[in-house]
Amino acid sequence: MGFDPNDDPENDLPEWLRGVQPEDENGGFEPDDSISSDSEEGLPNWMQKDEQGSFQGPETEDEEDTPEWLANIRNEENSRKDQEPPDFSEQDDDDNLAWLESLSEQSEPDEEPEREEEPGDFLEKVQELKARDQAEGSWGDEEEGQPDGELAEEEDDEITAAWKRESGTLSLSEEDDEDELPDWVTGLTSLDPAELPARRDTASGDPQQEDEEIPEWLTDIRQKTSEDTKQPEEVLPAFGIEPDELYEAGSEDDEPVQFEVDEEPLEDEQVDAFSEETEITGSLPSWLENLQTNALVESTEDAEEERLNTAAYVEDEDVSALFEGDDLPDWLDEVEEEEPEEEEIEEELPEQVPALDEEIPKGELPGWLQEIRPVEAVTSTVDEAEGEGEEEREQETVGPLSGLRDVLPAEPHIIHFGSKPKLSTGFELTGAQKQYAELLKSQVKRESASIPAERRSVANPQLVFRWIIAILLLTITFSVLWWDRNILPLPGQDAIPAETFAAHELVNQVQPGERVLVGFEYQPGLAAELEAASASLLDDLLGSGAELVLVSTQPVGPGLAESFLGSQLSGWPYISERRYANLGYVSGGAAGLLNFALDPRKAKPDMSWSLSPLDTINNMMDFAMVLVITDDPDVARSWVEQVQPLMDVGGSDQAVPLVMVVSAQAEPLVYPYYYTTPRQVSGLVSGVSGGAFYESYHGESLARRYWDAYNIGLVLAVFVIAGGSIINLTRTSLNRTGKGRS
Amino acid sequence: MFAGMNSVDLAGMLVSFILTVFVLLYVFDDNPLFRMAIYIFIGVAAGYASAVALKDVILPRLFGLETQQQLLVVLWVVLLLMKLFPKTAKIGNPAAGLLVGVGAAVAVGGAVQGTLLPQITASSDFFAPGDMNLAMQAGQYGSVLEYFMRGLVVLVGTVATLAHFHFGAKPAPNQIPNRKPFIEVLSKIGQVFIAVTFGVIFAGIYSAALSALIERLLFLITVIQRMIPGL
Repeated sequence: MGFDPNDDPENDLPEWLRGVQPEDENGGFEPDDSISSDSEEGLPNWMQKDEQGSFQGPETEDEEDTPEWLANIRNEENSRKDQEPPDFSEQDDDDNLAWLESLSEQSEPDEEPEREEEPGDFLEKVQELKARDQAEGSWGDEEEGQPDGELAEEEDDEITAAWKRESGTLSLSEEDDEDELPDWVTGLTSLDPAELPARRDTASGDPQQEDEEIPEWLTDIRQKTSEDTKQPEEVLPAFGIEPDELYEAGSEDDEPVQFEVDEEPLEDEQVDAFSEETEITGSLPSWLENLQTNALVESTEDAEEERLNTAAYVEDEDVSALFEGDDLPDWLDEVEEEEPEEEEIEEELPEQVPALDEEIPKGELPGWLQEIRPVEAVTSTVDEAEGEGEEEREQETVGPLSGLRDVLPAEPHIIHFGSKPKLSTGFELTGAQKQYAELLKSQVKRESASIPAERRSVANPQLVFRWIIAILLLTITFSVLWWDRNILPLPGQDAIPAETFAAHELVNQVQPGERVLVGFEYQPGLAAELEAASASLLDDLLGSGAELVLVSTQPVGPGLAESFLGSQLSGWPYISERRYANLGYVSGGAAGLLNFALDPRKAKPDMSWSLSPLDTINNMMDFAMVLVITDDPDVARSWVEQVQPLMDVGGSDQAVPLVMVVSAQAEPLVYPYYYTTPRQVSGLVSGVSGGAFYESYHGESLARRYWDAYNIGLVLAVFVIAGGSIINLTRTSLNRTGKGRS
Repeated sequence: MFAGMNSVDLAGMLVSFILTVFVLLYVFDDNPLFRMAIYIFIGVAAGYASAVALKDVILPRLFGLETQQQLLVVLWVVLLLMKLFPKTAKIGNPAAGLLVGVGAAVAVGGAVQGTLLPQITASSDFFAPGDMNLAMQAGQYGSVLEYFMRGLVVLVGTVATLAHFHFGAKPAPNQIPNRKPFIEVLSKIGQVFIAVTFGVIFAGIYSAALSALIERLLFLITVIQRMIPGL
């Protein structure tokens, strides 16, 4: 099927429609007066409105030729237009301009002269064109460059334009409509607007006349379809519009048609959305009311598939019904003959369609089946019951699409938007995993639990050995001390160590009245050892007439010094008369010691520096010798590091000697300072043995009392260590032998 | 029995005797008497130290200095007291920082100048060619040999001991990192020197402890002999 647009369409135009043709290409739409007068008179009111809205120029020229009834309509329309909201009038103009533009496209400027030809039956013209084209065989060839869809549209537009031309000559009275309108044009009024959007505004057809020409069965289908789908015939009454009013709007000139909007159909939410707009349409022209109402109802029913199918089917039937009868052109008959399926459908429809009138009875589930129905089914049933008689469509209630209808459900009963997912915090564990978890838990609990202090268990052999060694040591030492027989002589002078001898020589070099700084840097626990080592040395110093200045960096040092001097050297009047100076405790450790070495007066401001023996003391060089008695190698090192450099300012010849009496446990760490060149420690006496060596030169003293017990204790220790080593080796060898036998 | 002793000396002697016995009971493992004696000793030592610090340090610094010096001392004391409270501890940071910084500087400087450099010099003096030549010219070959051997021992002992504390090893794939064989040999030699050093220190500790035991036993004998004159 096709249509040659190059053919002269003006030959097919009815006479009344030729006046609508524009004069120029620009669409100025300024027809000459002769043509315009005809056109204005013949145009229906809706067409006049379009012209008024679109082309203001011609309107003023045509008003003189406008009949009275049409002028009234125009006035009425203008008065309505003044009351209408501007936005809606624009929509009106846009809708009308759409088909008017299509109409203007049909008329080309070069065809204008042919328009003046006598208008004949355009259908005959179409048949002639068709016959000519078939003879030439150029239907398809000439349309190669044009899609079929466009051809179909052009064909429809051609028909529409022809109809307009035809209807433009008609009067708007009912009699004129019934008498002058072609039958097929009457059938166009029942076309669904969706199928023929360009013809929606052709609602001026008479439904009654239409019904007369449509078969009865098809009329039933329409009625049924209209009831179900709320087609324009049904929707219009819902809006307070009777189908007849569509025609009365064009014929009644005095009063505008006031449409009463019925609220009942507005229960549908989709229609509610356009309720305001619908109310506004009450002041619109009747044809536009019909057009918009159809569009609204159509948009609300797109979601219903069954009804859509039915509507589409009926629309097809309506279209086919238009071309039934004698009014159809021949070429259209041939086209219909090429489509036998439609005829078959038409034959079958009368049997099937009546079933649509009957309501399908709702199935009843048996009781046992209702009980096992899923909850969703019951819920949906309840929803259906609530929305009975209404068009209920599933509406999203949760999630981002809440409030929207016709949304594809995304597993609605599985995915619940907004509801908190119930996540299980536990793990699905196997039996072995549970056992491991319990074991780990118990271990962690055991780690965190406080373990009570266990009584130290000592192996019996070790405990026995401890008791044996203690008993031997205590018994032997106590016995030696008890009997006090001087079993072992003191070491000879030839065996005296060099450091001890050096200390003895330095002490003997002290002149009477010279100040000797004595540092008591030991703890009470080792006081016995250090007192035994230093008793003879201090006695030697006191014998040489030296004056003692006591100081200590240990809090207990000054007390121990007083105790030592008072107990061991109290025989000297110098000590008993307390002519020595005890500077006391110097705080600050090494820093305090350095501070004291730098300026003794500032370090000990509370002392009587003006009295003897402190009156001549300003720095460390004012002392004849510095004697340090300590059991701590760190304290001895501090004296060497912080004080000794300040005693060697004038060179090694004038250096103040630093003599140390140290505990036996500190001797290995202090001894290297004696072997430096120059010697940092000029003399060294260590422990009871050092005191005994010193007493060999000086005479017996406290070290002598300890000497026997001390030596026996050392021998006992040697035997204990040797015996323990032998026992340990024997035990190890026995164990190895036992393992070898086994 | 205790003729010539006043009551204070007598009480002191008796307390000393009892506490000494309590401490010696440690032979029979830890016991309450030993613990009581230790607690008394710690408490008395702390109290005595506090009294000495108050007498010899705090009071002289507060009342023996001039006003400006007193204010400076008080300021530093207050800043240090701020360290006692968490909220004001930051205020005492300057005073604490001064103490730590000065102490560290004094200790490091003294160690370098008073110990490290002199000890390095002393170790190298064993191999001084001047001394060797003088001994050789004097015909003291034995002294030269002795001097050389002592220097060699000091050198080997120092190097071997330092090598023992060298834990650097070259990593090898799929193998336990091991030190170089040369370092390993020196490390073994160093172990010997370290063992000897620890032995000497242990002997000194034992000697010191033995001296303390002897003194305490002698004290006990003295007290007993005074308590029981006929013994």
